Amino acid sequence: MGATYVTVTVRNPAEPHRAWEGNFRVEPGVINCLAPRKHLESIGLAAKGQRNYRRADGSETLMDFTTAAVEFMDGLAGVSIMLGDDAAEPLLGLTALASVGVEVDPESQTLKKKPRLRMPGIRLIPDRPATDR
Amino acid sequence: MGETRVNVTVRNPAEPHRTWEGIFLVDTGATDCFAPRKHLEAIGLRPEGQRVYGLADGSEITVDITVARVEFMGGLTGVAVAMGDDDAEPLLGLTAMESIGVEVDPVNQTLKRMPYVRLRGIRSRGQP
Repeated sequence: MGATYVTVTVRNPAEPHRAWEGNFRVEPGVINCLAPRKHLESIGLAAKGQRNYRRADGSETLMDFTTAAVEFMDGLAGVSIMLGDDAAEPLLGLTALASVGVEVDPESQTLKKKPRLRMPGIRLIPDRPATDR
Repeated sequence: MGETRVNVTVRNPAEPHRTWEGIFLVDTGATDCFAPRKHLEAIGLRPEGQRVYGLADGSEITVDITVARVEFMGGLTGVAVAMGDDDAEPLLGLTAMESIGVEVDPVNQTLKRMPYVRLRGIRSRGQP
């Protein structure tokens, strides 16, 4: 089965004019995105934390991650993105795909964008006020 | 089946000292997060696009979205947040939960944070 690639713009949400565009492999088996550290740091994205990731073989790895805005197929999403090795292949993960409403056709391996996303639970707030701070 | 709520801090990524904390209904049927526009705008978040959402009754609404950082249960992630009416109940959607590794226990409706987030497929360029 061939891999699917898509052009993704990664944008620093704190400085939106700073962006990096890369060719990402679509990988629904990964929850978050991944990109080479050097490209993320070049647009001002620094690690905001570390997260423990479990690979398909059951082994685990602790990786730096940051938050970013990603744009692809005319859609926008906020994501967590891992800072990978400088030679790592960029990966577009499941949460980015879901948030933009993009699915992979399992037969043709092409991407298709859904016309709408799910939001069934919208309702007015009950007697439980949120708090500002 | 009961409902599950969790305290969520929404942070403006461009001005991280500006935050709003709310009690969000956990809604695994929602893809994105959803919060009242007035609270998002109060911390400087502005619309960055629009998205069409399908509601439970089959109807559709077009809603402004913004990109924010959300923090809950000791984790943080970037998400798309739909800017709802000022009296709408905040919703914590599936992508935020998956990104941090939080699941809903279907038996007791409590949230549990997994010790890891799923990952596969890392390889260097040119590897098969």
